Amino acid sequence: MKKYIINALAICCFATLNAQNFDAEPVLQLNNKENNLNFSIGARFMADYAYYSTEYTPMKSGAAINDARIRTSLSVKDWYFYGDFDFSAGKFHQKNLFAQYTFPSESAGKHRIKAGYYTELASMSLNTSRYGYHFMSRSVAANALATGRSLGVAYQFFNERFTLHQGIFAENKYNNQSSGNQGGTFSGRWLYRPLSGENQNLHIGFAARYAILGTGKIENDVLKTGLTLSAPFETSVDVESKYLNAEIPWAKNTLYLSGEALYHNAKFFARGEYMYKHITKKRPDEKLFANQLGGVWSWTTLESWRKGNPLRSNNFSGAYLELGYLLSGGGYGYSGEDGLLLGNKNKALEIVARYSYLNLNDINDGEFFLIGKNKFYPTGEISDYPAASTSVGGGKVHAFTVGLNYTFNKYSQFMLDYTYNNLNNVYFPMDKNFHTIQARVMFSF
Amino acid sequence: MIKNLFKLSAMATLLALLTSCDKQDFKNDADNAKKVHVEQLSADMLKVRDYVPKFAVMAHRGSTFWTPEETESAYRWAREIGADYLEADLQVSKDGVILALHDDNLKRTTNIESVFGEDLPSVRKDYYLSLGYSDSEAEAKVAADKAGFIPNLTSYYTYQELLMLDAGAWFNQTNLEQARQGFVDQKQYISTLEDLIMYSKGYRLKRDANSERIVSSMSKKAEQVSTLSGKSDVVEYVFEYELDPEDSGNRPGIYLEFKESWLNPSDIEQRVYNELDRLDMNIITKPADGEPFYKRGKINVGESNGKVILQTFSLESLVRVSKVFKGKVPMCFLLWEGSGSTDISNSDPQGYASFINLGVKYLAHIIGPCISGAPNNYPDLNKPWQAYLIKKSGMLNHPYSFDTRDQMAKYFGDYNFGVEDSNLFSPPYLDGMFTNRSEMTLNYFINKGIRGNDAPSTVPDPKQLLERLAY
Repeated sequence: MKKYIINALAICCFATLNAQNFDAEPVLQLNNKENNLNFSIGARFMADYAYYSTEYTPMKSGAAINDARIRTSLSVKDWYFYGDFDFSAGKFHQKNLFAQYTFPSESAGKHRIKAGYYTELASMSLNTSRYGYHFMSRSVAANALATGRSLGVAYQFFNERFTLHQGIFAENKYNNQSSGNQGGTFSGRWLYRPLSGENQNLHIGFAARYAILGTGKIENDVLKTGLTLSAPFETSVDVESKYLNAEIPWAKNTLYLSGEALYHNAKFFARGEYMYKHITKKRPDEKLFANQLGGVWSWTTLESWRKGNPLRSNNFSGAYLELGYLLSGGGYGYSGEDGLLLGNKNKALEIVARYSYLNLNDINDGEFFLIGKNKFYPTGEISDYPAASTSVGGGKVHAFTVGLNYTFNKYSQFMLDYTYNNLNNVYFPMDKNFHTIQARVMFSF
Repeated sequence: MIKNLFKLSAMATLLALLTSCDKQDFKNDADNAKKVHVEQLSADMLKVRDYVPKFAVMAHRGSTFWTPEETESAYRWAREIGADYLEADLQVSKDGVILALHDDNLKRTTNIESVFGEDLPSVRKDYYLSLGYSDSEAEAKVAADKAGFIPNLTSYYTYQELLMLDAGAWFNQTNLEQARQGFVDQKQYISTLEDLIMYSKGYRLKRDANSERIVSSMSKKAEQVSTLSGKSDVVEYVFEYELDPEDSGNRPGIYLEFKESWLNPSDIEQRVYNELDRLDMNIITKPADGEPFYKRGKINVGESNGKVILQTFSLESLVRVSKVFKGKVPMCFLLWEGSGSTDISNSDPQGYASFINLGVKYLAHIIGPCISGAPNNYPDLNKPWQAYLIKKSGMLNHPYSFDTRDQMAKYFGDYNFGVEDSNLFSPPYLDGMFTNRSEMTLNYFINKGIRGNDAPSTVPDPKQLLERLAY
C-alpha cells in the first residue's frame, strides 16, 4: 500500500512539474502509454498596458507584448526534456532548454539531475514562473540581485520535508567572450518544510551563489572584468533600468546569500526573501600604472597611483514580502519538489499586496555628489582633481504594490496592479515618486 | 456579476492594448528647466552683483583679433576702444610674479623655441647670483632646477627670463591680415598683473632707447612661492610706467581669471588679493562707493566698486576665492562643457542647475557660459532655458566669447521672432559679453540703446585706433 502511495505522490509531483514548466496543462499532447511517452507543445502570451505618473523624467506609458512563447516537452519514462523560445518584441530570445533525469526510487525522496539552460537555483522569485507569479512582475530586488538562466548542471533532492538544489553553471552560455575565461558559479537553494500537506505548506530556507567572473573586455592590453546590477521598476512596459543601475568595474567574485520563507493555505499565502550581494574586485594595478606612464602628468609611483585610484568591495541588498488572499475560486497550490507557490486555478479571484526594497547605493559617508559632473567628491568638498571615489550610486527604491487577479479559466488570466515607487538615486535627484497602474491579459495553452 | 466585471476589465485592457496612443511626454529640457531648483543670491550678494554695469563689454584677452593677446598693445587698444573690462588670465612665474597670460605652454604666443629651446635658460645662474647667492649656492640651485625642468611651461621660468621673450611677433606670422610692424618695433612682453592695472589706469610701459621696458630693480623678498617647478624665492621687480599720451580718459575695470588650480600656487587667490591691495584695486579695503560706471562720456568702471571682477572655471579656485574674497568682490563662475576636470559634463537642467547652485554656494555673482557659433564653435551652454536658470538665481550672465555680429544677435534674442515660452525664456540671454571684437559689441549695444547714459556714444575705428597707438 505504502508503495502505491509513494508512486502516486511521485506521479503527482511529476505532473506538478509539467504544470510548472507549462503554467497550464498544454492542450496538444501526444501520449504513448505503451512506451510511457508524452509529447506536448504549447504557447504562452502576455500583454500589458501601463500608465505611469512621474515627477520629472517621463516614463513611456502604453501597451507592450512582453511574452510570446512557444514551448515543447517530451517525457520518456524517467527522462524529461523541455524547451521554450520567446518571440516577444519581434526578437528571438533563448529561454529554457534542458534535460532532466529522475532516478527511480522506492523511497519517499527523489533524486534528480538537471542539465541545460534554465534558471539558476538560488532564488525563489526567479524560479517561479511569471505566469503563476500572482503579480505582474517580480520584485525589483530579485530582478536586480538574483540570477536568471544559466547553462549548467544541478543535482536536486526533495521529499516531504526537504528541497535541496545545488549545481554548477557557466557565466557565459555561449562561451563567446572576447577574452578571459567563461567564468563559473556554484549555486544552491536549501529548504526545510515544517508544515507539509495538500492544503497547507510552510517552508523556510536559504540560498547561496558564488561566482567567479571570467569574462570582460580588453582595454589597452588589460582584461577589464565588470558587473552591472540593474532592474526596471516593477513593470514590463517601460523596462528602462537607468533608475536602478550599479556599474561595478573590476568585479571579480560575487557572493549572493538569501533567506526565504513561504507559507500558504487554501486561501492565503505569504512569501518573502531577503537578498544580500557582496562583490569583491581584482585589478592589475601594476599593468595599469605602467600603461599611464609616459606623460608629464603621469602618476609617478605605483603607490601614488593606487592612492588616487582606490578600490574596495561593494555590498548591496534587497528584500520583498508578498501576500495574497483568495476571495473566491480554487485554493493555492504548492510544488514540493521546487519549493514554489503555484499559479491560480480556474475562476480564482485574488487580491495581493507586496512591499519590496532594493538598495544599490553603496556610498561612503560624507561624500558629496555633483550631478553636473555625475561625480562623487570623497572629501565632501569640490575640487578639480578629487581622488576617484569608491562609492556606487545605483539607487535605492521602496516599492508598494496592490493588485487584483482573476482567472477566467485554466488558460487565461487578467491582472491589475498599482505600484508606488519611492526612489533615492543621486543621478535622478528630481525623480522621487513614481506611480504605475498596469493591467495584463495573458493566456497559456 | 464579478465574472462579468472581470470580463469587462479584460476586454477594456485588450482594447487599451490595441488602441493605445497615449500622449507621451518625452524629455524636454525647456520644460524641465521650469521644475529644477536653483538657489537665490542673498541680499548682500545682490548688492555686490550690482557693482557690475549692465550690458558690460569685456575685452577678451584685450583683443585676440586685432592685437597679440594679453599684451600692452591689446590692453591699450581695448582701453581706448571703450571696453568696460580688460580681461586677463592669471599665472605665476617661477619667482612669484603674477602674470596676465593665457596658455600654460609658452610655445604658441612667444618665441621661446628660438630663445631657450628646450633647455633650462642659461641665464639662470646669473639670475641667482644677482639675487645675492654665492657661486656654489647658485650652482646648486641651477642643478636642482635642471633636474626637474619641464620646458615651455610658464611656471618653470623666472620673470627675468620671460622678459626675454617676444610675445608679439608670433601674431604677425599667424594673422597676416592684422599684422603690424608696431607689434615688433614696440616689443610686446608677457604682461604682469601690475602691467594690466597700469594700462587700465591710462599708463603704458616706460621703454629705453632700444624700446625695451625698464625694470629699475629686482630683489629677493623674504618669502617663497610654490609653483609646479617647486619652491622658489619670491622676487620683487620694480617696473617703470609712464602716462600714455594716447590715453583718452577711459578707465576700464579688470576681469581676472584664476586658471586651473593645479597650474598655479595654491595661494594664488591670496596673492592676487594682496597685489590688488597694493595697487589700490581692492574694494574690500578701499571701497569706491558712489563712483558711476560712466562719467562725461568716458568709461569709469575702473574707478567704481566694479573695478575688479574675478572669474574661474576651476571648482577648487571657486572655493578658495570664496574664502579669500568672501563674496565682496564680483565673481564669475565660468562654464565649459566637456569631460575635463573643471567641465560640466551633464548639462541637462539638473546638471546645469547644480553648477549654478555651486556658484551661489561659493559666493559667485555671475555665470559665464560658453556659446556656440563660428569661428570657435564652442559648446552651447547659453540656451534660452539655461539663461533663464541663471536669471532665476539672481546671477548675471556673462557668456563667452563673441566674434561675430551673428552671435551677438542670436544671444541677444534678435532671431527669436516672438516665440519665447510664456515670457519665461525671454531675451536677452546675456548681461554682458566677453568679446574678441569689442568695437563690434560696443556698436551693437549702442545701436540697441542699452548702454549707460554717460557711456561713450561712439566707438573709434579699430584700425585707426591702432595707427593712433603707433602699431
